[in-house]
Amino acid sequence: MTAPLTPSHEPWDELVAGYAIDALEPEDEALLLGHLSSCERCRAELDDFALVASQLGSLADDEVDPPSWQTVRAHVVGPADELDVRRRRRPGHRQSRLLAAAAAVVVLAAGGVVIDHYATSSSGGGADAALSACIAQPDCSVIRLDTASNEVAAVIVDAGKARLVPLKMAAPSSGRSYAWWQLPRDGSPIFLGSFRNVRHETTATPLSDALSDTAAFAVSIEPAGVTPQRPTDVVAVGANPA
Amino acid sequence: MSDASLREDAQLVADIAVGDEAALEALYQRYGGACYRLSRRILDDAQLAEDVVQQVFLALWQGGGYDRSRGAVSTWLMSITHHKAVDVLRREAGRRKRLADEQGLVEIEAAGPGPADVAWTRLRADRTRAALRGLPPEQREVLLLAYYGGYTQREIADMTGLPLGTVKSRTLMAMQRLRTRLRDEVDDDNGTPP
Repeated sequence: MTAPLTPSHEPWDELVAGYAIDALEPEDEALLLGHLSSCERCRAELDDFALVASQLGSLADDEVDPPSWQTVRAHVVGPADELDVRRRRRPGHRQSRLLAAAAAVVVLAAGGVVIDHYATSSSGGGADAALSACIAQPDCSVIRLDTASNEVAAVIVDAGKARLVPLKMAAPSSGRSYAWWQLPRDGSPIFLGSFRNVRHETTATPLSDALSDTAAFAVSIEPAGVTPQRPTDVVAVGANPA
Repeated sequence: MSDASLREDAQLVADIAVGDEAALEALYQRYGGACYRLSRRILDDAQLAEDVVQQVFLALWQGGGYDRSRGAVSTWLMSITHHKAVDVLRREAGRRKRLADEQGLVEIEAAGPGPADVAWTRLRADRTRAALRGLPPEQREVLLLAYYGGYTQREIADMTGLPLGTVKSRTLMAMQRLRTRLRDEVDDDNGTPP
């Protein structure tokens, strides 16, 4: 896929239509996700086409009965005696929401201190040191993530694990967090984690798909405290050069 | 807590986020059937379809990802269901036959509403089916191969012998026409008392 940089917006519209029905090739999907971060028009178009797609779904009216709630419940919520334990573990639980709200207050109190700074890695040697150390190793890879104009983060992949190093990222606004994603060449985006702290790299996360099968990595902005199913507002994308 | 079956969709999602199981059940009773039928139509396998529906509602229970600024809960649920079902289908590719062969497409176009459908679902399906029939056949084909067959646009190009650019442009035209047709019908409804 060549980047649709013609004056017409139609190439992007074509990608949006394909994305709404999950029909894009991974490289096209990565390309579009990068574009969506900066194009309000295409985001609105996607919301429109998603509605059309859901109406197409209404045609699947086979004369079949869905599984009972009790069947689904047993897999989703679990047996009644496990319910309390599971609820305590849920990320959306009230207590974790209160903690998130408290964290948001701290961020607001910082008053823009974290806008546009360069991060330091958790090892204390700085982002540049972490990247340099990786580059010096034969089996370590660096994938740099860009917005339309800036390099904002890098993903370091070493021994089957990836970690994201923020380089120049603003702190997310209140109620939002960053999510980072692996975009396989064949398959759907894989959620790798969420973060709000742009001063430190993330913890290392095992990759379920090999780096060789990865088209790109991406960072999106999502509602805080939820596990997104797929990226919504993508703010940076880095193609795997391998 | 009030009767969950009377709450609005967005309120149910908000209640699910704080662990309200009755809200989850109400949302399942409202949309679980549509999600299951979509998943089963795509996968042609009852067990895989059930797995997908469980994944969808598990994701909702564990934190969701629904953003009300991006559209209705029903749209989001169908979108996630479709996404997961296609994902399963592609992972299973090569080991089993895909549904959306020519016969499958004919069935989708010809099918009538099922007995489990409530009135609004039936009405929506009727309208969507009519809008789909209003598409030129070549646009309808690429749309259904993608949506119900789970094929990527490149796979459709390979299957049909069409250039990839043609598949993309036909998909766009089909989606734009459907949007216009379905929007017009909603507008007509707004001016007509029930």
